[in-house]
Amino acid sequence: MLNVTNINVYYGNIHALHDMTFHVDDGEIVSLIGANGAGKSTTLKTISGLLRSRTGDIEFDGHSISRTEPDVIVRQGLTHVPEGRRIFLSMTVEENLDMGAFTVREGRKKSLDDVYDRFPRLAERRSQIAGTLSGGEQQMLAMGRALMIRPKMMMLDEPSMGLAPILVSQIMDIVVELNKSGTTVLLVEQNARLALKISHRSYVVESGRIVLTDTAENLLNNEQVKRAYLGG
Amino acid sequence: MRENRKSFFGRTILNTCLCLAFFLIVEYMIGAKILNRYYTNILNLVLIYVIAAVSLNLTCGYLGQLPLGHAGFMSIGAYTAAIITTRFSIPDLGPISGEAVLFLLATIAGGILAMVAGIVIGLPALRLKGDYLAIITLAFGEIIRVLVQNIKITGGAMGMGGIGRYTGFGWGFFWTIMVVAFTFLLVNSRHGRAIKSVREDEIAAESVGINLTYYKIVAFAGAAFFAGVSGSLFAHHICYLEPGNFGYNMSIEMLVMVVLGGLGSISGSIISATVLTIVPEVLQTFASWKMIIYSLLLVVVMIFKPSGLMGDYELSAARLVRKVFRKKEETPKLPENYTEGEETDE
Repeated sequence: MLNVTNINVYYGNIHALHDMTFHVDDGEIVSLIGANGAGKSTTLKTISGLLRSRTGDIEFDGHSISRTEPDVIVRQGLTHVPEGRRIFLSMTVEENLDMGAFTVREGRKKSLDDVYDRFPRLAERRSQIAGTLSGGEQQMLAMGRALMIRPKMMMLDEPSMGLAPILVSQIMDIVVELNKSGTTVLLVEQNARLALKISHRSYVVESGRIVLTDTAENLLNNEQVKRAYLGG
Repeated sequence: MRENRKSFFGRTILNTCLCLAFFLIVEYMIGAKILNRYYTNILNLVLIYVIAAVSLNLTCGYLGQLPLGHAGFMSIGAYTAAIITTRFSIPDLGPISGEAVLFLLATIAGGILAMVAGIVIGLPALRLKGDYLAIITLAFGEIIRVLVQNIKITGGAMGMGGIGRYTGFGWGFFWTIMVVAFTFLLVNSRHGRAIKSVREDEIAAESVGINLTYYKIVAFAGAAFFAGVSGSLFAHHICYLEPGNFGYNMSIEMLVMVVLGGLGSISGSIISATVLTIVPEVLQTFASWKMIIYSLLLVVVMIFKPSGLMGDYELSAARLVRKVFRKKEETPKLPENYTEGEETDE
């Protein structure tokens, strides 16, 4: 579904991503794990068109999207839940969701109902100002907003950030459910254990390079990964 | 919450009636000399500034950018319209005055040229964020001023005289309604929500698939058009243009009106443009104190009401009516995010 080939991304003179190559197959949950500043978020931003790679190619669903505008990429069914949730704080929950469906003309009502089915909490708070939601609810809203276009693939950037453990596991359950209902997921997480638990495959990112890749299960048992990312 | 069609029509009819009533009353007062020439002049000036301020609020308040070149767009509109009305004439067509048609067309032409300029400088400038846009638009305003000073058709530094005094209360009011209706309908539409989402969070807006550049340009160009219109009205109000009219100070004055009234409030812009146009006139007799009082007023408002007089609240005739008539029937629902701006409060 997604093929990233040899992308190199720069922030000015700083070479942030080095020859990144990886792929996500239809129906998978794939995670990118690694420390702060390893380049995970940069990778997602590049895929969704917020940043540009100087070389290499990104192919989604059979089309190259490495030179495509972000709004067109969204229209093709690839959606990005940015780090830190980034919901529209002064709009209501429902307006936020409506913004999510900005690029689609039909079936909004249906999408809205589906999102409310999946996140009953959001339905309760539909006319509440989004800035007054709790962290977990804001994360749900961010995901709900991304689901409004019925994406083929969803990229989640640090969905666990700043949430209480109970909420983290709730959010992860939702990701798994989403995946079971047919959405391919690319997950970026600092919390490696968490990410590995729910992913099928995973890539370990260090200083803008992919240093290791395997099935999640194998990585969980990999001594090197254990030492570096799982705390022993 | 979406409002239903019926209440939309209700509000439209109500607001149209109020506007019409206001228009007729003022026209009557002008006709009956209750408002003498001096007051009528101030009234026209108020409307000109209201048009400029409301349009600037679109880029400043709703789009969340900081442009400092609004006077540049006014200047383009003013000179374009003035050049057209001084060089061409349209014969009267029965009851329709050729002069009025010419003025209308000239004003639209001025607006369109300003809009084109807005698109041309907006395309590169709006890709930049924050301070850079301010600097580019600031430079743009100055470039226009210098340009006007040095080309022949605008009369150069000598200025341009002999412009017909076409701007009356009718035209001012007509364009005020136009800019208020345009802004109100735009910001409350789907596109308006996109514009506001750009203000809220550009990354989020982009990640839900909003074309940032497109919506920035739409808001910026719309604002430029009405700035051009207000420039044209200004030109045919003072009848004599010189490059210094549309300097940096005027851009800042516009910005002050918008910020003081409240970013994202049409009624706020109307009120503050009205007050800030009238106050200096009233203080004319204390000329040396004028700037001090003016500045104090700003400082005081910013200390006690940093979000501007109105914040992002709108006055609404419809809501007032509802309040008066249904006080006992129902408790007010959740605050609606958008309500009708009332044009008749100056």
